[in-house]
Amino acid sequence: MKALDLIAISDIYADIDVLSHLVSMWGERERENRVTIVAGDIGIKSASRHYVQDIHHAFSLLSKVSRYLLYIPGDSDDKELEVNLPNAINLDRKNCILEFQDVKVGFLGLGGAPAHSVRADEPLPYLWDESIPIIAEGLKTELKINIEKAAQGHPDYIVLVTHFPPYGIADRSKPITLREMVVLEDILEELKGETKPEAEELTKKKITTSPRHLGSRILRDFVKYYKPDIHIFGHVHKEGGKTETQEATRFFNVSHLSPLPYRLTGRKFLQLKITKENIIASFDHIITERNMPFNEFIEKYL
Amino acid sequence: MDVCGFREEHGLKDYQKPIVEETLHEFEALKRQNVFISLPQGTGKTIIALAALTKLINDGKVKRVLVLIPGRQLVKQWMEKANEMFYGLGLIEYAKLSKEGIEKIRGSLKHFGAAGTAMTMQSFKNVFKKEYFTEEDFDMVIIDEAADLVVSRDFIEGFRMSKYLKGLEKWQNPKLFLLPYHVMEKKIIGLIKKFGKNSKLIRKMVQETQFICTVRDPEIIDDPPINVFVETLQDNYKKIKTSVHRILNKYGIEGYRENLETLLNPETLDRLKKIYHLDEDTLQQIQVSIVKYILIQHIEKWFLYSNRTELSRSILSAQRDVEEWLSYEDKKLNKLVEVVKNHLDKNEKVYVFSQYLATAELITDFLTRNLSLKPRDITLITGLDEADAQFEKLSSFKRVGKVLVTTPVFGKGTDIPQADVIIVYTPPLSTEKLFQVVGRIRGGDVIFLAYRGYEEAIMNQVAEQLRRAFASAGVESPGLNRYL
Repeated sequence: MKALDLIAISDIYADIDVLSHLVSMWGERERENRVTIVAGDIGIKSASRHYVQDIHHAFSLLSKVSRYLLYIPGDSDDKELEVNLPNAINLDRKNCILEFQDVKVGFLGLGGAPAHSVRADEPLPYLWDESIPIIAEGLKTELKINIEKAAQGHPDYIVLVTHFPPYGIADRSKPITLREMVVLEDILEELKGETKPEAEELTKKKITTSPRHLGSRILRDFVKYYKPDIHIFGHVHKEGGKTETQEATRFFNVSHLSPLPYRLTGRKFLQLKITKENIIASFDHIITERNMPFNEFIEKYL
Repeated sequence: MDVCGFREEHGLKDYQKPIVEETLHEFEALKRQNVFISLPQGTGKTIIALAALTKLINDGKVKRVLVLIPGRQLVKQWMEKANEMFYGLGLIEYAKLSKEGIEKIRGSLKHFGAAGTAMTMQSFKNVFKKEYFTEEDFDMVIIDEAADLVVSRDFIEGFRMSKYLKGLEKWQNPKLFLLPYHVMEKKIIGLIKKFGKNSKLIRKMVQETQFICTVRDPEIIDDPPINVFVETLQDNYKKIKTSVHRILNKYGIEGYRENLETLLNPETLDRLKKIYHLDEDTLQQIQVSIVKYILIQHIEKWFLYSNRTELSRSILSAQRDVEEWLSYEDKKLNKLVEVVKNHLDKNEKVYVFSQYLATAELITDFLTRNLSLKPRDITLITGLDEADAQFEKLSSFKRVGKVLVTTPVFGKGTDIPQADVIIVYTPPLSTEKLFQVVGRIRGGDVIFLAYRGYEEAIMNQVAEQLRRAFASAGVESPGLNRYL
């Protein structure tokens, strides 16, 4: 019995070059058994004049190697993003059930990101403020309805897909920015990374820009209560590749596929081999020349 | 009758007595405004200062003293030590920056006969700015670990010196500065310049054999792929740095070569753009190159200091040789387990130092698992701990612990004489800081770990440097007084 091959990627920023490598690496042979999840930040709406074409191009490539494409828009995407491909399913505030041979998987999703997780002056189109009670209630209700609907189909597993992490899990970073210069400054500061001298008492300004938990408290409470089997998210680039298990849920931060903002941690994807009996998870990178000598590898990929 | 003094079981050591006398002579007979005492770690600079202070209080020359200390956790330790060794001092810890808090302290100073207050240098900055206390409130100031805020040898040192204890230089009260012996002359000169020429430096290399550490030859680990990775990264680092210099040469840009990182500052870049007419592409090329070489240095440290978790999450893990290297257990950590076990078997307490937080956590976890240590056996102290927690954890290690793992959190004046051996897993970034770190244990073995090859050569040099420093103990070099 062949396992369902579930691939999860995030934070693509319409990098067609990496997606092309991905297509050549995965190949079309396993397409019928493969479901690809795109957990947001597919393009950058505010920075690209060809945003719609970028997205279409990205999905056309992914479609070649995937039987189904499940996606949610991230904070850099258009909230109303719709992909017109027969095998593409928008999971934002929705749910679906997919059946492969003898394994049945329920999916639900939530796109965008909490406003507190990005820098205040960032022009991102899909943000919401979970500190406003009416918004928080709305999000909770939608998540609740969708997981209950998915559960009614009696799936073997339920997979929650969001763009952002739950509070406290693989979510520690400075607020997210897409501005390269700010990222460069952050990298520099962090790489110098000694433990901060104790004499240096923090000012308010320092606290607001220092690493902290960027995740959503609503999501944390929801996951704790409903316990989906798998929670896939991206958004916090620095924590990409981290895996955690809490109670019945396995969490995966799958960011980031694009080599931006950090070449060193980019090109990442998660692979889940799902059978009725178990789920085997592993992270890998879109690297086609693995046998390249170390010095050439550094030159090429850093 | 004396109002304060040593408690019964305490007193001055022979070598401390003349230093106290000299200090008092400088203040009383020669009317010095500033006395700088520079002695090796562990020789009791604080005790010397307190002994001088009690004499001045008993003679009625000092009623209120202000004690300035670099960090919050050290204020607690300082007061604890003072109360343990001296009676009648009753120093009050300055804890909160509020007018009410100040009034409480002022009240205690006035009505309960407290000899003064101790606060952090950061608190002093705020207090001075808001004029909660002025020089009229005190008769004397003691500044412990005085070189702490100005020890780094970078380009902004001049700026830091101007900010350092800003305002205190205008106070006319006698000031006693305590500095470690290894502080560079240049820094002491800077301090003296700032606080005025009516100063005296008492700088002595006191020979206390029990404080001399034995620097062992580095423990060597065989793991050949490491050399390939690290040397390749080093070559790359040099190449990128050269390319940045080449751009600077091309445009005739001078003044940034010592600290290329300053070129990442947007204001600096704007300046370069205007003065040298650099285009956007060139500016970006400079920035990207600098970030890249810093990144490469960092990756090198991941390889050398067992940060396999970060390496596994990076694209490097997809390279064939790295993937293979990551597939087997970390040999340096295994060597660490072996060395720690040897010492624990001899009933010795072990202190493991790591410059980096992630490595310190990793070490703690690895040792706990591989040596079946109980939580009370191993203590991890990092900057993530609050000052009070750091203090409590350290006390716990001193009382019942077997292994202590820390980051540079104790860079300033904390003693750990209970440790019999220090293992420097990732060395500090400067020789001065290394002296501070190994000096904490007050004598014992100093052990470095190194991969055979590239790292071995470096660690041999570091060990040699430390040995030479310990060997030169006893040679007095007070020549700095020529600057006074």
